[in-house]
Amino acid sequence: MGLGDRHSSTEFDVFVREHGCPVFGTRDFGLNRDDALSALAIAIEIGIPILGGDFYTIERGRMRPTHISWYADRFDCERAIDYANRSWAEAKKAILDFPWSDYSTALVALVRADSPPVSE
Amino acid sequence: MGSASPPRASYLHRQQVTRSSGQTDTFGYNTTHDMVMAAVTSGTHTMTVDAAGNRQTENFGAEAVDDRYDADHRLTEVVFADGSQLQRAFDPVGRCVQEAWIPASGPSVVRRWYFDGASPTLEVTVADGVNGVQESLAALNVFSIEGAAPLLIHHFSQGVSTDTSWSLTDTSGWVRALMDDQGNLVQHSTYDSEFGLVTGHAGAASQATPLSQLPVAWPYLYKGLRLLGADVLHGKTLYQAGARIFDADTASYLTRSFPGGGGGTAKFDTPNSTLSAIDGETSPFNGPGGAAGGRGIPVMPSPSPSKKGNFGRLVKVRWFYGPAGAPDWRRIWIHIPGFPGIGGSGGWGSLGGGPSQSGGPGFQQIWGTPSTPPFPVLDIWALRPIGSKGTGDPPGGPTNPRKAKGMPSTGRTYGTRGFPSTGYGSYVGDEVTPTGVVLLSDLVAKWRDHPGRCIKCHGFMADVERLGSLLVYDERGYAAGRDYFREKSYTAVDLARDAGPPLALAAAPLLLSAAPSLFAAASTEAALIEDGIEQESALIESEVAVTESVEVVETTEATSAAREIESFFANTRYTSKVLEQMSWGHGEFHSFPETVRAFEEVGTVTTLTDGATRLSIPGSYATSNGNWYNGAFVFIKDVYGMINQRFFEIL
Repeated sequence: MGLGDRHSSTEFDVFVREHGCPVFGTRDFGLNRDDALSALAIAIEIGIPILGGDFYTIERGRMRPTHISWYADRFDCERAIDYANRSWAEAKKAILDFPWSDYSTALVALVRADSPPVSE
Repeated sequence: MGSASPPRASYLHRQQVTRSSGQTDTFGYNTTHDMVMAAVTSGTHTMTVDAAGNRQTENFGAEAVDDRYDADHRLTEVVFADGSQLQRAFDPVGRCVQEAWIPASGPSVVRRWYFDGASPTLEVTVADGVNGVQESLAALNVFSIEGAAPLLIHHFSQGVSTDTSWSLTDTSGWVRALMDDQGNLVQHSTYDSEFGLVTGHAGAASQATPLSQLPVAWPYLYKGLRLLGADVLHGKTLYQAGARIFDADTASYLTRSFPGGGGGTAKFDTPNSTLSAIDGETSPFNGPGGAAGGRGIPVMPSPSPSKKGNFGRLVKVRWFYGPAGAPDWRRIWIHIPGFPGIGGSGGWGSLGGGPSQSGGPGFQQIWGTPSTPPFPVLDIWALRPIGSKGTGDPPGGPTNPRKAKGMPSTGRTYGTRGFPSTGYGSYVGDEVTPTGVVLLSDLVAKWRDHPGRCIKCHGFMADVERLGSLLVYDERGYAAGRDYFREKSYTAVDLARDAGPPLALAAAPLLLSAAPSLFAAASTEAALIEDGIEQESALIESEVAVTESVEVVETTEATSAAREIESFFANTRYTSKVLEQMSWGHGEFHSFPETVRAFEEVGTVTTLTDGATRLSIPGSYATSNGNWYNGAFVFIKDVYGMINQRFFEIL
């Protein structure tokens, strides 16, 4: 499944917008833990790698960066499918490992790839 | 004074560039930081360099290019695999006086340049590659180049001058219009959004000139790249600009400049200091009595700042008039778009009959004739989009043959004379888009912190995508090239002064009332400026302050040099995640201009608990709807140098 307009029509984007909290000044949408895992499942379903993500917290009503993030860059010579699988695994690990309980409210913004990897 | 050269380890070379097409190119460098490999769309190119950093060979498949240099490391010959050659000849003082393209077959193209001092004044097409060898004056133009652009163009026909035009330039120095001796607008030029290629000429209605009779090819438009050196990757997208590699696709240098580089020819280009680019410093208005001195340019009859490419900018022009060493009066001129007399829009279309000899519409004289000598050096008070063109010359003046870098270039030069700098900012720049100036909230704070010194403050705005360019300089401060960029850019506000009395307080109301767009819309900000002027007026009265300012300069520059060694961005890369976020469009908090990185020196670096490092550069930024916020531009890199967070954080 390919992606059309990356900002409007994907199943992933729709889910993120419906369930997420917009991060002021950015196109990020912060998701809670469960919604983030659901969004990840959608990304896996449609074959979109997750490039990384940023964790936010809410302080005095405003989302603030926690400065905690992760990324998954494609290695040289890495097969597209291998990269996609690894990106999803790292995203899942990052979401699960984040110390959610340390924050009264924390959200995570997933940054997806612009398009599915070229099949090989 | 920051003269010590930072170690080369402080270099930042781009290991890869992701183009708008999605193509990622990678580059390799040797231990002396010369590019030796470029894996680009067309394939992998390998290069060799000599000990001086001169590229000797380039190989790409069956293609092979040999570059040859003289003892001064000037590129004198480029030999291609098919036998075609590019040859350059230099005169004894280092000026490139001839360039010949000799194809493997067919006629050659030969051009010669003649100089007045360091400025090329005459370009002759000896052979045009079509009609065989000839030397014709039919296409001859004489440029009187004083600073940014040809200011005076004599049109010749068969060797006889037929008329004279004055060029009017935008803030980037591109010639936007020509004006005749009577002040009539005779031509308006437009350019494309890439690299200033001419897209059209239009004559004024009152003196319409058929397009066929207008100069279609303006050679100086392209000299920023074309004459800086041979293509590194012939026919590709990379160019040799001095010692640096310029990528036309991404409109940026791949290799970083090298402050304090060694002697010889410019192996390392370095930006000049910011404030030396203030308009008016060593401007063409300086007569023989001007502080610039040594220019050998006579006082021009009936000079008018409106003829000097100062449209669209707030400038002050120092103008001494009188016998050498005894200036008897001076003026400061300001041009403000939209000011009464130039029309509501301030655009080129409203030039009307053109400026007059007394200053012209839109120009206001704010400082008149001083009553009695001595005449202290003017302070400089400039408010401009970063950075409006300067018209100064490097130390040594335009007659210094090194200025030309061995190439006939109209590249503008900026004076460095007499401007103590507090070190805010790190380069001069140009913007094509002249509209919109934003005053930072810390403007006055810095002004007060450094009374009497040059102050530079920066505001960042992302309201439009801009094409711009930065002039780059070699280690001696001579213009060596132009660094183009195309991105969301920023506007800066400069306050600068050196010795001498402050700007007359009486001028403040005029400034404030006349330039609401330049001084930002907010009245509070205008009040701050006025307050700043008052502060400055009260504090700067003696040369003691000047001495202090020099001391501050030394301290600050030393600090800057130290920070250079510890550049946050050394050996870093953006992750794919960040690159994706950076592509999200103007006004997006991940997408602020890369030029912010140039202000690393005013940022603070902290180490986070996981070993990551955070750089926070204070500044202001606007969302796409134009609302401004104060905060910090934040970069966070991990222990591997991967920058995975890049965002503007509201404070």
